[in-house]
Amino acid sequence: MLYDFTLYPLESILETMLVIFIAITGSAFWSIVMLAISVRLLTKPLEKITSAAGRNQTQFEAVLRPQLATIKHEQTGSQRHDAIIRLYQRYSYHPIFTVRSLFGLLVQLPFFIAAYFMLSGFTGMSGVMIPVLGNLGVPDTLLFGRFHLLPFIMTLVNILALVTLESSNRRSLVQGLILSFGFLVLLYESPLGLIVYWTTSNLVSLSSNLTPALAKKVPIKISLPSFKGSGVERFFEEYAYIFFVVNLAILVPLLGVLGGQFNLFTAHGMTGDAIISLLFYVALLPSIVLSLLRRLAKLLGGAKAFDGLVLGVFLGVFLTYLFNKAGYGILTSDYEPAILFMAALLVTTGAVVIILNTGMLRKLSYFSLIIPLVLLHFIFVSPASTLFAGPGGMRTAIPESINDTPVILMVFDEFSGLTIQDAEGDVDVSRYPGFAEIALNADYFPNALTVDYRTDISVPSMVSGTLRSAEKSGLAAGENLIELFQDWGGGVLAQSSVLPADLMYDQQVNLYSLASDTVTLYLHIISHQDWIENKIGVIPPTWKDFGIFYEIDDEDDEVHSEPLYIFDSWLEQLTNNAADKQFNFLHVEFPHAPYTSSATGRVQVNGEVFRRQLFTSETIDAEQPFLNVAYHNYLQQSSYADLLLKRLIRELKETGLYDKSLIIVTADHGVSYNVSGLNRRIPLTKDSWKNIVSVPLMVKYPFQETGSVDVSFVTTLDIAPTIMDVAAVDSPWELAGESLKTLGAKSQTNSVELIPGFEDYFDDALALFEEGRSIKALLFGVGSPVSKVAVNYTENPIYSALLNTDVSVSSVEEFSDLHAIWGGSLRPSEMTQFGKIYVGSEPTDGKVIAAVVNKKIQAVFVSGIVEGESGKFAFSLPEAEANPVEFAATLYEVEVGEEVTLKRIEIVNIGQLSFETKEFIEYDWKNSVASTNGLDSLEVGDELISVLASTSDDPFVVMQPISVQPISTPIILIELVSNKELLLQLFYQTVDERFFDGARSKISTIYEGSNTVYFEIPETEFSGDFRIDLGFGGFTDVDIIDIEVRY
Amino acid sequence: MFRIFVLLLFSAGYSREAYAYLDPASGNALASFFIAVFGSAVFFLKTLFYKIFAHSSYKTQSNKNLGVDSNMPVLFSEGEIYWATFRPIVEEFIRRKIHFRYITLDVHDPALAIDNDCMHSKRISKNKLGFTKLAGLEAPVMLSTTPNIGSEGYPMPRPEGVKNLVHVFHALVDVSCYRKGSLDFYDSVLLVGEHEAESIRLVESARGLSAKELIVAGLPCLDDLDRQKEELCKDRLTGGDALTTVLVAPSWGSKGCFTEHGTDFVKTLSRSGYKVIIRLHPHSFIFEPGSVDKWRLETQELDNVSWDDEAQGTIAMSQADILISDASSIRFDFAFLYEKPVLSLEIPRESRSTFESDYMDATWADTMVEEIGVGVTSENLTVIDEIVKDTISSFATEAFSGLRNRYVDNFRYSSVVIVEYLEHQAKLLSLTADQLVSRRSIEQLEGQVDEDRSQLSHLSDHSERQS
Repeated sequence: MLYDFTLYPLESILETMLVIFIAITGSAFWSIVMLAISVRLLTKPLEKITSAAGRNQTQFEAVLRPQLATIKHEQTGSQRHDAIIRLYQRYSYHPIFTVRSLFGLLVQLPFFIAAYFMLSGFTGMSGVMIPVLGNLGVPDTLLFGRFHLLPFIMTLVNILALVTLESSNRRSLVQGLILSFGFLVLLYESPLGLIVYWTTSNLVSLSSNLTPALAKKVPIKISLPSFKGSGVERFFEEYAYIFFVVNLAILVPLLGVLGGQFNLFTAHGMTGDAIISLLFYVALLPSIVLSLLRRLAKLLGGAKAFDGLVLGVFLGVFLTYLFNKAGYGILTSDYEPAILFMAALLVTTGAVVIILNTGMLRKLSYFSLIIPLVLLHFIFVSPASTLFAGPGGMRTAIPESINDTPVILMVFDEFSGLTIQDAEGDVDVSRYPGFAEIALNADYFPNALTVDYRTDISVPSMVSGTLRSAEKSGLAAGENLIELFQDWGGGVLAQSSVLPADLMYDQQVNLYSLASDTVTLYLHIISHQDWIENKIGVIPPTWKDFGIFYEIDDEDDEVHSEPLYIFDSWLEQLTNNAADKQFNFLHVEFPHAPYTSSATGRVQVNGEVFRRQLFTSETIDAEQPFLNVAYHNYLQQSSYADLLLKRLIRELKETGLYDKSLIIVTADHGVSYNVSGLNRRIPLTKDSWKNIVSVPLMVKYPFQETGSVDVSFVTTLDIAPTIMDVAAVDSPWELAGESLKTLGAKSQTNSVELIPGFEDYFDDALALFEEGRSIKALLFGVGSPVSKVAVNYTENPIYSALLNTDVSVSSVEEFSDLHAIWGGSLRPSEMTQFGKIYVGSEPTDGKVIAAVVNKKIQAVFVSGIVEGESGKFAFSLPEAEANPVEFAATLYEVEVGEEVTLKRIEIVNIGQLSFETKEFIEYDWKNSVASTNGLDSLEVGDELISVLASTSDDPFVVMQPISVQPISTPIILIELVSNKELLLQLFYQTVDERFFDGARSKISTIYEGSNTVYFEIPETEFSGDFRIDLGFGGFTDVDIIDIEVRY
Repeated sequence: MFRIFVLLLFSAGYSREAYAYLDPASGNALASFFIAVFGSAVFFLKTLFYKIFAHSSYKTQSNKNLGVDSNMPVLFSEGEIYWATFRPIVEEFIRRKIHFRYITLDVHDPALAIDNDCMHSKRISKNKLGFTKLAGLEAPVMLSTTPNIGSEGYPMPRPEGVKNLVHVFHALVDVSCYRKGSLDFYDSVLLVGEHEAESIRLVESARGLSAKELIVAGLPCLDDLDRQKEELCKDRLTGGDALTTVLVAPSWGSKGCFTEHGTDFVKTLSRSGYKVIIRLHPHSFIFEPGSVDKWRLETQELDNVSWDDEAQGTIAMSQADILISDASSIRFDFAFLYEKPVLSLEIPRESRSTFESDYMDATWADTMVEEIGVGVTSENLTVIDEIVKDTISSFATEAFSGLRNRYVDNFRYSSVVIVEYLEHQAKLLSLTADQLVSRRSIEQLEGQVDEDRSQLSHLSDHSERQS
C-alpha cells in the first residue's frame, strides 16, 4: 500500500522515461545515460531548495566553530557548557540542526531507490550487448577478462566529483572518500547497467562542479528568452490548470484502467494511430473548450467563479474516483456509495476553497506537465504499449527461411472441448459434423487445454507461443506468429478483437459505439463498483457495444451479426486471395454469450431477466435448472459454430487450399454451466474447471489423409511451435510449448503445467472430463442433432423417459392446484421461455413441470430461485418444435408415485390469480400525472392517457402517489395499447426510500397491440410517486387505458 | 526525527545497494546526519548532567527567555552591514550596564559573538516565520536603521507591541534619498543634525502624516568610521603611494554612476596614469550581480585598477586622494573624515522619482556638491582625468572640518545621546497609565522642588548680598 503511493509512481515515471529513450535512441545504453542525466536535471530544482538548507548549515558552522573553539579553550566544566548554551541561544541554533544538510538526501533518496529497483527489474537490460563494454545485464569482465573495470571507473568519477565540489572541506572529503570506496565494494558485482547509471549520475555532478570554473574562463553569455515574467508564463499559469484538472478527472482514471485492460481498443478495431488520435482529442478538446469559456468568463468578470466551478467539477470527479477506489468494500454497507460520495464532496469543497483563496491555482498549472507523462506512460510502458507499432529496438530478427505451407488457424471463443464430445469422448458426429469432417484427416486432441480462461490472455499467448499474463498482457511485441509471417513476407490475414488492430485486416471503427462504450466505461471507472453495476450492469468481456448510449436496433433480425460478419468477411478474404496469404488467422467471438443463434442459425434472443442474470453479471444468481437452460442455449449456438467450421472446410476444399494447408481449429477457452454462483468462465471449482480448461483442438497437417486421436494432454501454447515446425522455421524467440507433430508417445506437453488450476484439479482431469460428458448426455441425450434435442433439465434419469412422450388428452384430465404465469410471453423468437409457478398466490419451488408442445413432452424442468425470487422456471425447446410461429405450450405438473402422473397447470395471468382477491383502491389515474421526461407529448383524454415519444431520451411518466398512507404489497394493473414491442419498467418508492432506483422496479415486456400487465410490488410500505418507463429507442406511441391498484 | 531515522534505517536495511545511487554530496549528508544525532545526544546528556550534578549559573534551553524583559529597549539590525551603526550604541549600553535586547536577521552579525550579561542577543531567521516572530515583538522602544518597516510590499511588518519605533540613519543622508514612505511607520527619527528636520517635515506635510518626534543625535556610523580610521592609522601609516589614487564608489541601482555612465571614465583615468580603486555599494552584489560581473569584466584588463571588496571602506578611503561618486553618502564620509575633495557625477533627476526627494526642489546633498568638491556633468566625463588633476591641485579642503561640525551633531559622541534617549524612552513607555500619572506628578514636583530650590538659592544669594 505504502509502496503503491510512494515508490511505485516514481518507478513508473523513471521506467516511462527509460522506455521512451529506448524508443528514441534504439539503444539501452544511451537510454540509461539519458535517464541518469534527466533525473539529475529534473531534480535540480529540488536540489536547489535542499542545498539552500545545507548552505545555511555551513554558514552556521563557519560562524560558530571559531567561537566554540575559543570557549573550549578559555573555559571548562559547567561554565564552558553554559557559555555554549548561551552562544547557541544567541544564534537560535541547536546541534540537531546539522541534519539540515540531510534534506537533500531525503528528497533524492526516493529517486535513487526508485531508479535502483526500476533498473534491477527492467528486463530490457539483460542480454543487451554494448560494444566494448559487454552485456548490460551482468558485470563487465574488462579487467584481465575476469575482473570488473567499470566499478573502478565509477569510483574514479565519484572521487573527482568529490574533489571538485565547491564547498568541499577536509572533513567532507574524507567522508566522501570512505563512501566512495564503500560503494565500490557494494556495487562491484552489480550489472553493467546500474554502474552506467551511477557513473553518469556522478559525471553530472562532476560537470556541474566544473561548470562555474569553466564559465569564468570562457566568458560566453547565452541569453535565452526568459519564461519567468513573460506573457507566456502568465497565460500558462492562468489556463494550464484547466488542462491538469480536466485530465486528472478524465484521462488519468481512464488510462489507469485501459493501460492494463485495453480490449476496448482492440474490440473496436482501433489501430495505434487511431488510439493516439483519440487520446489527444480526449486530452485536449475539453481543456481547449473550457479555456475558451474561461476567457469569456474573464471578459464578463466571472473568472474566479468559473475557476471554482471547473475545480469543483473536475477535482470532484477525480476525488470521487479516488474515494470509490480506495474506500470500496471498507464499509460493506448499502450506504457506502453515498458515504464515499459525500466524503469526496466534502474534501472537494475544502480543496476548492483552499486552492482559490491561497492562489494555489497558478501553482496547480505546473502540475499539468504530469499529464503528458501519463500519456507517454500509457503509450510506451503500460501493458497497452503492445498496441502501438513496436517500441523500437525490441523486434526480434527475421528468420532465415520459412517454407510456403499455408497456415490456417481458426480460434473459436468460449467453446469447451467437452462440448463436441459424445459420452465416450469421441467427436459427437451428429451434433458437430464440421469437427467430425476435419477429424477424418486430422489429429484430434480430446484432452487439449487452454492456458488461460481470459480471452485477452489466452489468444495473445496462443499467437505469441509464450504465456502472457495480466501484467504482460497483449501480444508479445515482435515475438508472435503474425509479425513473424509479416516480416518474412509470407502475407498475413489476421482478425481478432483482442489483438492490436494494426496487425488485423479489419480496422473499421464504429465511432458512435466507441464513444458510447468509452463513456460507459469511464462512468464505471469513476463510480462505486456495486452502485454502477446495479445501475448499468458490468462491462461484458467482449468490451464492445455495451455502452448505455448505444442501442442495438430491435428491428434488426441480425442481432448476432457482429461475430458472424467477421467470420464471413474473413472467409471471403481468405478464399478470394487464396494464394496470397500464408498465415490466415481468425479468432471469432463465437459461440460466446450472449446466445442469439439457434443450432441452425435462426436468430433467437433471451428474455431480459435471463440475459442479465446469466451473461452480464460476474456471478450467476440462479439455481441449477436455470443454468441448464443456459447450457442448452450455448449448445445450440456452439452447434451453429460447427456449421461455420463446415463452411470453412467447404470453401477451403473448393479453393484447393484444404489439402496443402496446415489447418488448426481450436478455442481460446471453454465455458461452464455446471455450478451456480460463479462466473461461467472462471475455473474456481472442480465442477466448472473441466469445462473451462478443455478446448477443442484439431490439427490437420498438409496432405494428411487419415485422422487420428491423440489423448495426450496438450495446450494452446503448443500451437505456435507446431506451426513453426510445419513451416520449417527456427523460432527466433523462446517458445513455451512444443510441436504436436513430433509429440511421439508423450502423455503430456510441458506447457500443461501452466494451465489454470493445474495443481488443484489436473490429477483428476480424466475423471472430471468423463463426468462432464455424462452430465451433458443426461441433460440433452445423445445421437440427435442439437436442433432436435429434447431436453431434460432436471438431471434426473426418471424424467428422461418422459421426453417425447405422447400426452393424450384423456390421461390428463386432472388439474393441478398449481398456477403458472409466463414471465413475459411464450414466443417462438425467444430462446428461453420462463415464468413462475404458484400455489394459490404463493410462488413455489421444487415443482417438476413438463412442457408439452404438439402433444409431446418436450422439456422437463423444476421451479426454483432466480435473483432471490422463488417459483421461477425456465426451459428452452427443441428447435423443431419452437420453429412454427404458431405453437402453444401447455404445462403439466409431474408427480412420480407408483406411476408417473401429469396434472395440467392452469396458465393464468397474475390478475386472475390474485388481483381479484385483493381490495380495490380509488385512484384517479387520469389526473395524476406528476411529471414526464423525454416525451414529445402527453395528452389526457376522457378514457386514456396518450403518450408519444420519438427520441431515445429515457421516456417516462411519473404518477402521483396512490394514497397518503403506505400500502402493503399492492398489485398495479396497467392496461395499454402499444405501437410496438417494448420493455415497460415500473419504478416505485417506499416510506424509507423516497427516490427511484433500479432495485425497486419491475419490468414487463409489452407487445404490439393491447396489453394488460400486473406489477406485484413486494414492499410492505409502498408509498409516494411511481414511474412508468417506456423503454428506449425509436418511435413510441402508447395509450394507457387503465391503471388500477389493489392491495 | 526519530521516525525519519527509523525510516532511513529501514530503507538502508531493505537494500544496501540502494545507496549506490547516492552522489558524493548526499553521502556526506548521511554522515552529517549521524554526527548530528550523536552530537545532539551528547549535548543533551551534558545539559542533563550539569543540571543534576553541577550548579549551572545559566538555565537550560527551556528557560531561554529568562533574563529578557519586555521593558528593555530593543536594537533591531538587518545584519553585518549595519554593524558600524550599532556598534557604538551597543558598546555604550554595555559600558553603562543597561540591559537591552539586540535582534538581528544575520548569522554573520558580529554582535552575536558578544557574550555579555547586559546584552540579550537573538538571531531571527530572515523568512516568513522570522518576520512573524518580529511582528509579535513587545518593547517600549525599538531602534532600527531599516527603512520601510511596515510599508506595503516589505516583508517585515511594524511590530504592534513596539510603542516607539525609532529610526537612526546609517549614512550621512537625510530622508530625501529614501524611497517614498520609508519612514511612514516610524514614530521618531534620530537626526544627524538640525538641517535634516526640514526635509522630514516636508514629507510629513506632503503626505499628511502625523509629526514624528525628531531628536538631534548625530551619526553613530560616522563615529565608528572615524574610530576605524584612527585604529587603522595606529596600525599602519597609509598613503605614500607614488601614484595619485582615485577611489570610485558608485551607489547601487538606478542611482549609481556606473549604471548611468558606464565604466568608460575609469578607463580614461587608468590611461592617464591614475591608480583607481573601485568600491561598490554592498547592495550592488546582492541586487545587481549581473551588472557587477559586467563591470568587473570591463575593468579587469585596465592598468592600475583594483577592486575593494572589504566590508568597511576605511582602507580604501585612507588610500585615496580623491573620491569619485554620484549621490552616494560615502562622499560625506570621505570629505568629513579624510578631508579630501569629492567629484559628484551628475545623476538625472528622473531616476529619483520614487524617492522622497521628489517633494524637494533641492536636497541637502545637492547643495553640498560644490562645498565638498566639484560636480561633474556627463559631457565633462571624457575629461575626468583633467578635472581630477585640477581638483586635487586647487580645491581648498580646509573648511571641511567646519562643515562637519556644522552638519553633524555630537561627532564621536552620538551613541551617548542615543543611549540616553532610548533608556529614557524605555523607562517612560514601560510605565502603566497610573505609573505615568504619578511619574508626571513626580516630575512636576521635582520641577517644583528645583524651582523652589533655585528660588531659595536666589533668596539666599539675595540675603547673602544683603548681609
